[in-house]
Amino acid sequence: MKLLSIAAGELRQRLREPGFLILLVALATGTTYLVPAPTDSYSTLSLAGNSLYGGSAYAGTSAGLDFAVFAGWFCIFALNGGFARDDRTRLSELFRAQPVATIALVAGRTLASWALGAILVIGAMVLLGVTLAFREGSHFEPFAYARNFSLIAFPTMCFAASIAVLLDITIGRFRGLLVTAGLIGYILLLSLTGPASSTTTRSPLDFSGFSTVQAEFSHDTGNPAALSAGLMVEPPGKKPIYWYGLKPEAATVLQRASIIGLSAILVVLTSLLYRRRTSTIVRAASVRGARPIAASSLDTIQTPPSGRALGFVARVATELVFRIRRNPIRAAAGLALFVFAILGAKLAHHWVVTVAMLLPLWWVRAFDESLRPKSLDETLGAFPGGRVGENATKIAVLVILCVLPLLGLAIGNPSDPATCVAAVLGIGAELAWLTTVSWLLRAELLALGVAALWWYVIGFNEVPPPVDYAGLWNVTNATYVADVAFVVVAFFTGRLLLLRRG
Amino acid sequence: MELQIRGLRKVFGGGKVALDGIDLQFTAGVTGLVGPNGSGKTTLLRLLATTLAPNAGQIVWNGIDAAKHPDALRRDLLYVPQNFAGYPSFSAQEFLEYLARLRGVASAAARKAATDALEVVGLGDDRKRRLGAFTPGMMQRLSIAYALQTDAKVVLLDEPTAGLDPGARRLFSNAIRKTAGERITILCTHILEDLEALADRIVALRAGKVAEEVSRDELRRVYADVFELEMAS
Repeated sequence: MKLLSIAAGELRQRLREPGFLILLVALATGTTYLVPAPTDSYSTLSLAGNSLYGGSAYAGTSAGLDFAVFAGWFCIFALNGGFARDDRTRLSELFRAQPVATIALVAGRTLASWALGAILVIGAMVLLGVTLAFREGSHFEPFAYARNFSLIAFPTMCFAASIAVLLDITIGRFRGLLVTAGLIGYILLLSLTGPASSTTTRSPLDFSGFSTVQAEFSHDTGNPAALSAGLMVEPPGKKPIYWYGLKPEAATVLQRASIIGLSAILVVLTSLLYRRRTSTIVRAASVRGARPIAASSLDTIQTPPSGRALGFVARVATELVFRIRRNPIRAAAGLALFVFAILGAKLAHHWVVTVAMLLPLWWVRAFDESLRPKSLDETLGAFPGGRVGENATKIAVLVILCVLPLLGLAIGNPSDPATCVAAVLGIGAELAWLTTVSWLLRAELLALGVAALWWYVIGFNEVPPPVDYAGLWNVTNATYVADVAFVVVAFFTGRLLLLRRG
Repeated sequence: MELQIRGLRKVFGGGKVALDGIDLQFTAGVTGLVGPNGSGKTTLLRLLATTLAPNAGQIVWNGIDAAKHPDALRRDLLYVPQNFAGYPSFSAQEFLEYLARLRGVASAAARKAATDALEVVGLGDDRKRRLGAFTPGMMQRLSIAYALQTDAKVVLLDEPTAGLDPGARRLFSNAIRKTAGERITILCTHILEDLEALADRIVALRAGKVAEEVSRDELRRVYADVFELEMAS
């Protein structure tokens, strides 16, 4: 019962976070992109360059596989158990003292993360299902579609959620390490357990379901070649291959069930790693207390210095100095990119912009805004300009730090200002997303996860994305309109959120 | 130097009236705010700190309504909220310097003021330590250092001595007393000894209204009234 109470409490808390709703909408919207219409020029599942097609069961199989792979990527961050969050806010001390077994504490939080993963799967599945029902009409088979989608996606989300809790407990307090280790570890696990496995056997460790789909495909068609997932363009002359999709066989159901079992075992292992009696904050603080204070110590204080009212520019300059001083490596990387942009403006434009799009993800972490306590909000909100001014200052500093390196493009290739303007606007749009979701909605990992996924889709896929916000493919009017619209919406949303807060 | 509030009213979501049209006047010296939990003390401080907007009324600072033009008051204001916190990745020295620079203090003066203030509150050895590793007691000392390193004319202190050891509390009292004559200090606390040591006058709040406004001589009676206690004389 206690376990269920813990799960229900965490689930209620997470569902009330506005960031979760955004995640659900973003994922569900992105999923509609995963089942291309017959007229579209790309596929999501292919065999040696030949795209696959089929009916509703196939749509559920391919969309479920792609959704699980991509959503699992950032759900590693979005579905954490909230342990690091509670450590930071010191709420963990309250939980740690409760009469609840450690395994129940961890399992309850993990169960909540599983439930959140299931909600994401169902949300995406329903939205895509409605789209398909409109598109396919009476040919649409909802049961076959939903069966295959959930069979593939749900165990993957359970696994991603369990890994998320494991990372949260072990390295959650080192946020930069968490993001890096999470991404690298996920890709490594995916490549080791999925496509690399034999084409005719189901790997028991294949959390993504890739080997399962591949084994059934090989069995049905007699074709043992390896499948590829992702958004791919079909080369000219290749003929699409028809496949019904998963049936699914008993071995498939067993393989997917074993991933849920594996996720449950991970929970037990995680609970062994949870150091309940060693709070991160208390451990760090208990090394040495402050010195005793002599009653006469005040005599050493002279008249405190007077200040003057700072204008916006002076405030931005002050903020800039502190942030650079605090983060010299990030600043040096920005400078290096500036030089790289000048040298590679003509030959390596794509790479310059792709790397520049990572700067906001990196810099936004340097501001410690996403989890800052309410009392710091109030301390800084009492300065001239209030919270709105303070937020505007920090966003201005972020824009300077992330956009200045791109100006190297204009120096290196002055004959093509359009690509430089589009890239700068794209970085602005990315910053608008990151600061609104991360700072104001306090959903930092969601903001970073979505931006990282979008960065991957735009930078490395073969298919032009629906919104190429940094002008990496083609600079069109749609690029400018999308970026400006994004910044304007983020501005008004941000202002509204700040005003509502006080 | 005069801070006045006229007909100040704050209603939160759900219709909860936190402050119900109060009028008060503050001059140089220490004003102690007392009242039971939920009486509106912190709301009043947050309204004065301009981190909350009133539904009605005025906050007049040197003739300007700070409810409408908050920057007029913010320039002369220092607010130490309950559970003072800082950026966990900043060191104590950096954070105090940062706050001083935001007040427009020149770089060298900000550095010196931060170093001196940290030394006074016993955090000299910890000034390069990250705030994420500070205990709540050390954060409270840091808040005193923050109050010491500035020449603000209006100082708002919300439960500043909660969790402090006796030495630090004495330091806090001395520091406030030393600068009290030149500034308006509004101190919100439940600790009777702090009020006895510091407050020139007492404002008692109850259910969002001013219940009593008296001099220090009547502190014990007001304290007993407002908390419904029997006090030793």
